[in-house]
This record gives sequence, structure tokens and C-alpha cells, in this order.
Amino acid sequence: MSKETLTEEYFNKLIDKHGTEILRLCYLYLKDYQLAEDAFQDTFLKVYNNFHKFNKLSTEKTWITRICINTCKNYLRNPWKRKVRLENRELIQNGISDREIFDELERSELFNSIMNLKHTYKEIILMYYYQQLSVKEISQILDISEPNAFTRLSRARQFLKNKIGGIIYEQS
Amino acid sequence: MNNLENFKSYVDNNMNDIIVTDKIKKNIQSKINLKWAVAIILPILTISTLIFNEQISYAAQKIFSYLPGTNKIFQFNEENKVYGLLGSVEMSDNENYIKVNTAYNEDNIVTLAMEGNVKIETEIEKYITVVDEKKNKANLISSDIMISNNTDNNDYQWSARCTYEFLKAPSKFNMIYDKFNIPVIMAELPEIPFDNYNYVSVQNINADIAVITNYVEDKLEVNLLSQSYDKGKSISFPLNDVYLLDSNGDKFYSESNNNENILYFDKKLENGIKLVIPHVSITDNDVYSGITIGKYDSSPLDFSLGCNELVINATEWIEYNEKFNYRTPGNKNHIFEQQAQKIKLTISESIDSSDKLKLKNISVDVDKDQLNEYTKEGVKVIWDDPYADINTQDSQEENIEIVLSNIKDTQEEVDLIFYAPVYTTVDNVIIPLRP
Repeated sequence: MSKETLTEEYFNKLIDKHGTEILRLCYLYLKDYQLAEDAFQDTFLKVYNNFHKFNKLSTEKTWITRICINTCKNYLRNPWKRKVRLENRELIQNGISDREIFDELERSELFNSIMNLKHTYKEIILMYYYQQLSVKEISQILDISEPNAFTRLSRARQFLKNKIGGIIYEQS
Repeated sequence: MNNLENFKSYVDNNMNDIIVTDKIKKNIQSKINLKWAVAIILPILTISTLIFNEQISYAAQKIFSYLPGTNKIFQFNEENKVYGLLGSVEMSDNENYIKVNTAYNEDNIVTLAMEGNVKIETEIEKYITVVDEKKNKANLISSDIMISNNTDNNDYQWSARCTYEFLKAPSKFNMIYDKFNIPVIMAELPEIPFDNYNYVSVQNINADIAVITNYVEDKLEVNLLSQSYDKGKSISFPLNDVYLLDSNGDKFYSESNNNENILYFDKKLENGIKLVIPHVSITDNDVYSGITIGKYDSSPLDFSLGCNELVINATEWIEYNEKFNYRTPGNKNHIFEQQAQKIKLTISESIDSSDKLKLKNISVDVDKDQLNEYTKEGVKVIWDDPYADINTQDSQEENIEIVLSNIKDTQEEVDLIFYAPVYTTVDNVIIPLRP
């Protein structure tokens, strides 16, 4: 589908299909709802503006995730964006803070360990286990070879095993 | 949650409130509509901006101040004037002296370059106090000092570059060392208007470059000045590669330069003449990044340094022997040999990085505890490869190669600190000179 045929209806469908997962991925990446929402909006603006470049060699989800990851990385390394705080976002109106959400999530030692992993390992765990992407799709997103992606994932799992011992297991 | 297979449901259950609302969708939609409005205006803007190189803009009428000897330009600001020391100030008794070579302020921060042979140590604030006219002490913010020889030696000498924070921008202050009280009186720097000549703003490095020309005897003196607006970044020029380009397309390289950004040409200024700087180097002095590399890690390894994403594309661990001779007091010769390792790193910028800047060099330190260090006859020594000139190679290629030596042979991983990356602009910087 080219940009000319990316109708408002199809764009909304993309948001409906992938939006919530992408927004939550942004949130897991940035741990700040306001930044996550900004990153989410930037991601879908880029999706809209670059849809004509989408070559369909990967799935839409893989392509959008790649944009999302790069956007979040930009946010993380841009100190100005890190400091920006906007008021009146819906999450704040609901009276739930980032801290409360992460306090709840961090009750799991495994979740904590994932969040404290080295960035490259955390990223691949989120993609594999949260977004449930295949190793091939992850290799496309990270622009690395499939064996490299597999090795990185194995090392990330090994780190988790070393850290929290026998609590986690893998299903074959 | 106790296994990874439940990770998704665990996260989703705890993030029930994190959903895409209609309001978020509308926000995106409104931004898309705004882009359409911008698209209508854009063609008009494009016509006017096409005239200029997108990375370089020539000032319509910027006013700068310039302090000779500093290679710096200061953007003129009505509220905070720039003061500088014209010349130098020295105080001495028969044997000892202190001299202030350079002083200038940027707002309430004063930079001082000084030298002397009075006793001083790296903790400079123990020896030197700087006070304003009302005797308020200025805070030392940074200091960089080089000391040659020790105080017992007749050749003892030091030079230092310090920045001090004053309560407000000073035009005069005093520097106190023991019995020396040196008044430093700075003058308001003259304003120099730069119009379409002798000035460029290089946007992708967020810096201004200006040129002051002068004739010294029959040679054209070209003084390159620069100002980076990013804290901690310094700019340098490849002086031997800078040339003048006349309207016939002929190039004229400088006959000499003094390494302080002053070049001398056997050429007169004329209509259409331009100064061409093939590339500008920017060193980011304030960024550090730690990374641990294991012997069996697979490449590539990504890491961030400041705002840039870098990639270690390959690592090669090489075993070798560190071997050297030393003599004991009885003049007995000993040979010492120890196994060690070196690591060859191949580094490049991430594919996503800006194609307007190229990584040229980077510094890296290995954790000291992971290095071989020997004490022989009470002297600490580190083995050095006499055949390797430098451990980092500037590169014209996409990759730069770094060799880290002296690593203990037992190390299976090393902790590295990367810092001071040097980037260069890819495009020429062209500055039209006023005839």
C-alpha cells in the first residue's frame, strides 16, 4: 500500500490493531507515561509519513516496532525530552502515577530483573516476550543477523537465569 | 509472574489503564492535518532556502566580538557584554613570576589562561584566589594545569587554564597568590559585524566560524575563529588542508601556519575569493560511556556516547608476551617476561546516525585493575610496544580501529570507558572572504 492509499480509515485500523501494545512498549522503555505518550504519537506520525517506504518485506507490526524502538532510543538520549513534563494527561487525571504502576509491576522479581538488564538485553526480551516477535522479526528490527539476534536473546536469558536462579524456565 | 512465558499477560494486566484513547488518536490526527498546512507554506520557503547550503548559513548581519589570541568569537549580546584582557599582565620578584596571558568573560564566567614558576599544585584553589572589585571570592569551576619538573628544579614551570564563576559579569578582578596581587583589567571587546563575508554558521555542529584577515608584510594572514554553542565541545581545523579558492577555480594552500589557527598565504584578497575548509573536527569532551566486553561476546555491540549511537563491529583478543630488560643496582641485567592480551576493536557509527558527521576518532581506557603493571626496582612500569606508534588510528574509512594493550592474561572480560569522540563534517565548509 502506498502513501496515497493510506486512508484515514486504514491508519486508524493500524492504531487500533497495534496501538495499545506499542504505547505499552513505549511505557516499558521510558517508564514515564507522558514521554511514552509523546513517543507513541511520534511513532505513528512517522508511520503515517513514511508508509510509502514500507516495503512489506516485514510485517506491519515489525516495521512499526522498529520505528517505535528508534523513537524511544532518541527520547532516552535526548536530555531535553527527558526533562519535559506536560500536565493534564489522562493518566494523571485518572490519579494513577508512574510510580504506582511500576511499584505494582516491580513486585515480580523477574520483571525487576528484566527492567534492570543492560539496554540491549532488555530490548530483546521486551520484543520477544512482550511483543511476541520471532527472532527473525527482531533481527529485522535491530538490523542484525538472525544468529546474532538469537545469541543476544540467549545471553539475555542467561543473565536472567544467573540473576534469579531457578525461578524462570523456558518452554521448548 | 515466575516465568517469561507469562510476561505479556503480567504486563498487560498491570497496564490496564495504558490504552490508546480517542483523545490520543485525535492528537495524532490534528498533527497530521497541521503537516498539510505546513506543506502548503513549504514551497514558498523552499525557494528562498535553496539558495543556501542546508548545513551552512551565512549571517545577514551578525555582530560578534573577538579577542585576539583566543581563537574565539563571542556573539554580541546587549545585556551581557564581553570583556577581554588585551595583552597580558605579569607580576614578579627577582626569581618568581605569575603571568595572566588571557582573560575573558562569558556572562559571569571568566576563563583565565596563566603561567608561572611560583609553587603550585594541581589543587590550584589552595594557592590562587580570585576576587571581584568588592572582594567577593569567585568560585573555581574548572581547572586544567600542566606542571613541568618539580619545585626543586630551576626549570620548574606551570601553565593553567581555569574558569571562575563571579556573582555578575566582571570587567576587572584581582588574582591573589601569596604576596602577589595581580589586577586584571579587561576591556569591552570591539564589535565586528560579519555580513555575507568572513562568517558561516555550521548548523550540524551548532557552531559559528569566522575569519579575520590581515596583511603581514606581503603575506595574507587568515585567522580562523570558532565558537561552539554546545557545552564541552571544541572545534579544530585541518590547517594544512585549508585553501583559498579564487573565481577561476584555482587553489592556493597556505605557506605556513602557527598551529593556533593562523595561516599565511602568498595570495591577495580579490573579488570572488573563498576560504575552503575541507572538514571541521568536533571533539565532545564531556561524554563518557562504560561498557563491558567479554572474550566470548558476539558482535556487534551497540553503545551510546552522548547523543550518538556507536557500534563495536568486531573484537579480536590477541595473546602476546610483554618482555623487557632492566638492571639491578649491581648492574646485573634481567629479562622480565609476562603473558598479556590485547584487544583489537573495530568501531563505527550506528547506521541510524547522522550522515552529516563522521566518527573520526575516539578515546578509550581500560579499568586500571585489569591491566598489567609491574614494579621493578621500586619503579612502576607499564610495557609499551615500541612498534605501535599510537593505539588509535584516525580513519578515512567507515570503521576506526583501536588496539588496547597491557591487559592481564587472566582477564575474560574488560571494563572500558569510551570518551572524547571526534567527529568531522562530511561536507566542505566554504567561507566567502571580503575582498
